[in-house]
Amino acid sequence: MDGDPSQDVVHASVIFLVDAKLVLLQPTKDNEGALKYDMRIIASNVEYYAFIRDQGICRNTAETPHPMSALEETGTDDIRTEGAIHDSLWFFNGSGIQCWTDTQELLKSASLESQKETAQPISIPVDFYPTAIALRSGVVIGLEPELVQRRDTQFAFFRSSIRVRWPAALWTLETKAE
Amino acid sequence: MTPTGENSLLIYTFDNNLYHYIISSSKPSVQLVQVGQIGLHGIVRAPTRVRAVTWYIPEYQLCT
Repeated sequence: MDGDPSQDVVHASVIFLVDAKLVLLQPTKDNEGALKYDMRIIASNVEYYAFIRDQGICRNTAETPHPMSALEETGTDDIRTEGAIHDSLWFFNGSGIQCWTDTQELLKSASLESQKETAQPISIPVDFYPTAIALRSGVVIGLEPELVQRRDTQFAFFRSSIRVRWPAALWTLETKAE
Repeated sequence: MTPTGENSLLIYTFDNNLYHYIISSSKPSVQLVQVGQIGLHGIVRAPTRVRAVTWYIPEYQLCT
C-alpha cells in the first residue's frame, strides 16, 4: 500500500558509508518474489556525505527560521516544490565536494537494469576542509588551519579559521530550482 | 543511527540489522514505534566498519 510506513523497508534504497566507500543497496525482487538487494559502490575516498532530504531544511521552510528569510519574501517555497536540490546527495572526498543533484537519477543509473554508467556527480573543488553545505545561502563553509607566530611568545600555534566558498555550480542549481 | 524523512529514525546495530522507527509525538509523551527491520547478513560483511547509513524512499511511497 502506498504511503504505509511499515512498507518503507521494502521500497527503500539504503546508502551505507563503509570505510571510505559509499555503497548503494537497491531492493529488487527475484524470480520467487523475495526481496533481494543489489549492491553497488557509487563513490570511493568518501570522508563524509550529506543527504539533503534527511536534513529537512527544504520541507517546512516556514518552521525553520533563517537569517536570510527576512530578506527573501519569495523563493524559499520554490525550492521545496521544485526539488532540484532537495533530493541531492553530497560528499567530500578530500579534493572537493561532489554532488549528485537528483538522487533518483543516480539510483536509476546505478541499477543493474540500466545500460549506462552510473551518473557522474558535479565536482566543486575546495582548498579547505568543508564542514557544512549551506544550501539556502548557496555556500560551502569550512575550516582551514593557520599557523600563527607572535613576537611575544616563543611558540607558534595553529588556529582554525573559517573559509567560505561560493561555487558557481551551486548558484546554477539554485536558479534551476526557482 | 540517523533521523530521516519527516519523523523517522534509522538505527543500525552491531548484529547487522537496520531498524526503522517512527517518532510519534502524541501527548503527553513521545514514543518510538518500530515499523520495519532489514536484516543485512550476507550483504554487509563488516558491521563495525559501517560509519553512517541513510536511505532513499521513492516519491510514490512517501506520505504527502
